[in-house]
Order: sequence, then structure tokens, then C-alpha cells
Amino acid sequence: MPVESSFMHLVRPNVAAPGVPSATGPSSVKIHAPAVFQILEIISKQVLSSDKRIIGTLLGIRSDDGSEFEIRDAFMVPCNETGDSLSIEDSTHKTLYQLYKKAHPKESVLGWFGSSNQIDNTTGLIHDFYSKGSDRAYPYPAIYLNVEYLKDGQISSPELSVYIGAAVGKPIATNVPIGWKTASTNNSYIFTPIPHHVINGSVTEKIAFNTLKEKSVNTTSFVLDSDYSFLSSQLEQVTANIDRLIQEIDTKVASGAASDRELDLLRLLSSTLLNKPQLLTNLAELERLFRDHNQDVIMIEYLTKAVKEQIELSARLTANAEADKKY
Amino acid sequence: MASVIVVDSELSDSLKEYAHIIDAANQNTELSSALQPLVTGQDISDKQAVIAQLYKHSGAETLRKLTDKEFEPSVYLLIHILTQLSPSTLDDASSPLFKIILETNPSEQPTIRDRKSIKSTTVLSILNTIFNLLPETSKTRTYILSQILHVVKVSNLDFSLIEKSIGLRLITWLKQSGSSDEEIRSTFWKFITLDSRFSAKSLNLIKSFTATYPLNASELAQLITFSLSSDVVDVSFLVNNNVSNALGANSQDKLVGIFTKFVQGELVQVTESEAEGLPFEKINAKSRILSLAKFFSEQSSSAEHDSIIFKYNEIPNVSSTEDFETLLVDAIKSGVIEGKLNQVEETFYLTRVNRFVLAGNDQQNAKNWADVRTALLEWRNSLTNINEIVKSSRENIVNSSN
Repeated sequence: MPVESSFMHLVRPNVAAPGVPSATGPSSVKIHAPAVFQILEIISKQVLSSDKRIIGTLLGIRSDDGSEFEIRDAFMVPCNETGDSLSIEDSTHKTLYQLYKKAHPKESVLGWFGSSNQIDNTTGLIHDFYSKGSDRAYPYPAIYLNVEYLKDGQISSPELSVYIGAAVGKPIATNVPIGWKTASTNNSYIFTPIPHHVINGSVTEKIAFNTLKEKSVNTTSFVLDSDYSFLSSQLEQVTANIDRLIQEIDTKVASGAASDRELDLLRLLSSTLLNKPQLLTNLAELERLFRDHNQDVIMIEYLTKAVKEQIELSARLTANAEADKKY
Repeated sequence: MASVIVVDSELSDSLKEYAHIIDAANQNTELSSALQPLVTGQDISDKQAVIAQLYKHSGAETLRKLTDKEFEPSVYLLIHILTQLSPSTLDDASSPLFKIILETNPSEQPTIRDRKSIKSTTVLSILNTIFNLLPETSKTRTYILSQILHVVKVSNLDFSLIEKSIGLRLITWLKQSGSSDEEIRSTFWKFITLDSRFSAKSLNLIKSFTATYPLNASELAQLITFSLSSDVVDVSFLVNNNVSNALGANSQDKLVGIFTKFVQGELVQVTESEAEGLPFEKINAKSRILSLAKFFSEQSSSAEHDSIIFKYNEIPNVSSTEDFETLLVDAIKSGVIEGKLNQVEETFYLTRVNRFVLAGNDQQNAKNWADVRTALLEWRNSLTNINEIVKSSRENIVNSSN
């Protein structure tokens, strides 16, 4: 589900990370639904009990050029904010990340998430923490996922936004004598919003997600029923839809002139429907076409298999020939 | 929240940093020494003098000396300093800042050898960030948008870069920034003409645009040229009420005549002289497909003809069996017709064909509505039957297992 946004994103801005080349195209972030739940759970539990900044680490994979991100999981990292100073429990981050890395060797730290209503100097500091140092996003750019959960002290529908920190000023200090305070400690960023969307990683996730969405919204409790007569319920739904359409058409035809939306509907319906229904009523024809279709599918499968076998055979022959050459 | 600049240092330090960058590029200390008397400690006495010095030393000539990786952060630092000194800098289309950025845009694509020189996409990225820094209601947003389109045009950047990200929201942005209808229309058509591939997505953008905004003669001509040059065969979906009105008002025009015939599925044979720069061969090929679709849709709904089976020898305007088969394959590829070909018996089984539903064609549309209604009723009845069969067979299975 893409999020409607008022910002523009054409090209990923230049970031102060040595691992990626300067971009010539846009960036995008995919967030897996379980990761969103994880983040929301952390934030909703923590924000209310203690009115302070909640941060955590985002985990997942990124493309080779560092422009596509996929957030797959997240964990919380405790931090303490007193006045202007901020301390992040580095060791917790390290331990949890190394634990995660054992189970998911191909995934790495992408950035961090937080629950703030505004971007300020502290945001820059935390972003800097995640952009540099080992076991963090370095040498790739870090991303920042903000979840706006509280509005004026009241819980509101969470709003997600993702930012990337573009570099400001001189990215890397050169020729600075050892022992001097170098420019690399500066934490100046332009937080530029980048588009994101929540995705479902697998079909089972999708089914579970949809069931939850359908049954849990606006109801206090529900029981998952075991009767999954899928076909019947689908057929009933289609019948109900057709009834609604017919009703709509009756009112339309009576009213005369058509609006653009109605024209689109008519175009869609007449292009798709006018040749089809006869097949549904003409059983003999339907069966014949179905048989023909099956034959075609079998033919294609046969051909695919033949080609596949040819390729495999040729690969084996080449391997054999190579092996023979060695001796 | 849109873009936010976070700089964790005092303004005077930022000024020093910027002077450093510029002086390093120029290999002198001019800007540092010019700023020195103006900045004492953390105090900046004469802000206007500082701004003047910054503009004086940050010409496009100087900025071009920076590498691509240095250029963008430096401009952001300059933006930060300028907005700190004078908060209204960005929200002013006449600001020298925009002139500098646009002048830095390379007039030619950098060769593969100079990997470090400034790229057009970097300039685009800066304009993008400025756009996000501006409030939604700012009129300067319109100016930035037009400059982005200008950069894409002069630098021959790929249209796909802006197609989705700008196309979908262009009108909303322009409306928010308080542009007049006239400005919105001219910016939209400027945007569309950048698409040199005439993609289906752009056609859809045109369709949703023309649904709200009426067209004048030149805009209609643009629409016709665009849709006829496109690879998309069936463009009848573009004819909504506004387009239909414009077509009616300009029916004397030759191009309009061709287009009207084309979308109705009549066979159009355009010669090179008539085409006026349009790809006439493509138009003729597309028109043949549409006239075939029209033939199928008319015949399949007439009472005398079988609705799905067509023999080769009934097809009009084809010279041979091979000719028809090639035409049909083209039509299927373009998505106008779906069906199955039986080469042995020389018959074609039609599954689906696009119908031409055009605004303003009320009589035909009323008939189509009636047809659709009958089809839906039939479908509904057969579905009820299927549902009963499914239910009874389920019961049978359950009962037999007991």
C-alpha cells in the first residue's frame, strides 16, 4: 500500500557514506508487515509508560547500490536523554545485533526508528551514531523511520515516514593532522523524506494479515472460525456485487447522460463481459474449450521440458569435456 | 514532515566551513579574508554584506570546480547559511541562489572519463530538496517544478525518472501552491511533452487530467499527436466528456477528423503528406487492428452471426491467410483482442474484444448499457446454479463420509 505524500522524490541525495556511489535514481523502502507490528508494539508499549524518546535498530537487506531498502525486523535499544546530552546503550545494540546476525547472516543494520514529533539536533546525533562505527550501517547510509504515535499527548493513528540523511558541508575531512578534532564528527544532515510502502513477504503472511485486518478492526474480540468454504463465500460475494451493479445500471440508464466515471465503467464492463457469459451457459462449448486449453498447456509444458533437458544435457556435456581436458 | 536541515554548529562555524570549501576549490583565501572583518566571534554584524560576499564568491564557475560528491553537500550548506541569515531566501523565485544552481547544470552529459564532474541528476536532487524545504502553499514551488522540467529537458534525462514521482502529484502540488488554471494546464502539457516514448502511463495521466480540465484547440492537437504516436493501440479511453466536446468544437480540423475516425475503429489510411510529422505507417497499422476489433465487436453482438466463432474468409480488409494471422497476432499482442486461432480449420474463437465506448455517443452507449445489463443477469443466473451445485456436492461429500 503506497502512502500518499506531499513530498517529491526524484533522485537519492548525496550521502556521506563511502560504501555507495552517488545516485542517479530514486530510493525506496519496503517495510515487511511483521516489522511494522514489531515497531508499533515497541513504541506503543514504551511511549505511554515513560514519556521519552524511544529508539531502536532496523534490520534487513539493501540493494548493491544502496538505494533500495527492505526492513524485515527491528529491536529496541534503550537510550537516555537528559537535557542536551544523550546516551545510547551501545552494548545492548551490539549483543542483540550479533544474536540476530547468527540467525540471519545475510541481513544487516539499515538504520534506526524513533517516535518523535519533530526532527532536531538529537535526531542528528542518533543518526550519526547509526551512520558510523562498526556493527551499524557504515559504510552504507543509514535510514531513519519515524513513527508519529502521540499527537499532543493523545494516541493517534500511527504515521510512518522514512528519511535518508543527506550530507551538508564537506563530507570527509582531508589532511587533518592526527589528534585534531576532525570534521567527520560533525552531525549535520538534511533529512530528506523517501517513499516507503508496507509489504507482505509471503502468501501466508498476506492471508493472516488480511484476516486480522478484517476481523480485528472495530471489534473488541473475535473467534476464528474453522469453516473455510471459500468457493461458496466467493460466489456469494460475486453475486452480491452483480446485484449492486445491476441496480446501479438501472439508475444510470434512467438518468441519461453519462459522466466520465460511468463511461469508464461501461468501457470496462462491455469489453470484458459481452463475449464471456455465453460460455457459462453453454456447457458443451465450455467443456470443449477447457479440453483444448488443457491440451495447449500440456503442449507448452512438454516443450518447456524438452528445452530444459536439452540445456541440462549440454551443461553436463560441457562439464564432462572440461573435466576431460584436465587429465 | 518534509525535508529538515539539522546542523549542529554555530552559524559562524558554518560560514568558516563554507569559506574553506570555496577557497580550497579556488586555491586562494579570498572568501575567508573577505568574511573575516564581517564575522567577529559568534556575532555577525552586517548580514546583507555577508550574503553579498557569499553570492560574489559562489558563482557557477567556482562551484563547477567541485566534484560531484562535494557539490551537493556544499550547496546544502550554502542554503543553510543563507536561510539562517535571511529566512526568506528560498521562498523567492528571483533569488540568485536558483540562478547559481541552474547555471551549474552541465550542458553536456559528462563522459565516462570524468566521473567526478557534476551530474544533472545531482542538480535535480538539489532542486528536489529545495522543493521539499518549501511549505506546500509556497508559490515558489511552481517555479521549482518548472525548473525541474527544464533541467530534464535540456539534459535529456530519462522521463521515467519523473514520470511517476511528479506525474501523479503534479496537479495537487500546483493547486496547493495557488497556481491559476492556466498555469496548471501549461505546466501539465509541458510535462507530458517531455515523454518521448509516449507511454501508456502518460496516456492515463492525460486521461485523468482532461477529466477535470477542458481542452483548447492546441491542447487537443497535442493530445492527438501524443496518442497517435504512442505504441498503445486502443486510445478510445481518452475520449471523455471534455475531449469529446473539444473534438466537436474543432471538427473542421484535418487532424481531428483523422483522430475521430481512428478511435471509432474506422479504417484510416494516412499518407505521408497528410501525417504532418506523425509516424503514418504506425497509425495505419494501428488503425487496421482497431477496424478488426470493430468488426469483431459488431458481428459478435449481431443476431445473425455466431458470437464467438469466426471463419477466415469472413474477415474484411485482409489480403491473405498469412496477412490475417499476422494482423491478429499483432492485435492480441496489443491487448485489443483475445481469442484462440485454429489454423487447421481456419477459424478464430473470440474470447474478448475491446469495445469503443466514446463520450457523446449516447445512443450507442445506451445500447451498450442494456447489453451489459443482460449479460450481468445471465451471469448472475448461472452463478446461482453453480453455487447450488457446489453446495449440494459439499453436502454429498460430508454425508457420504459419515
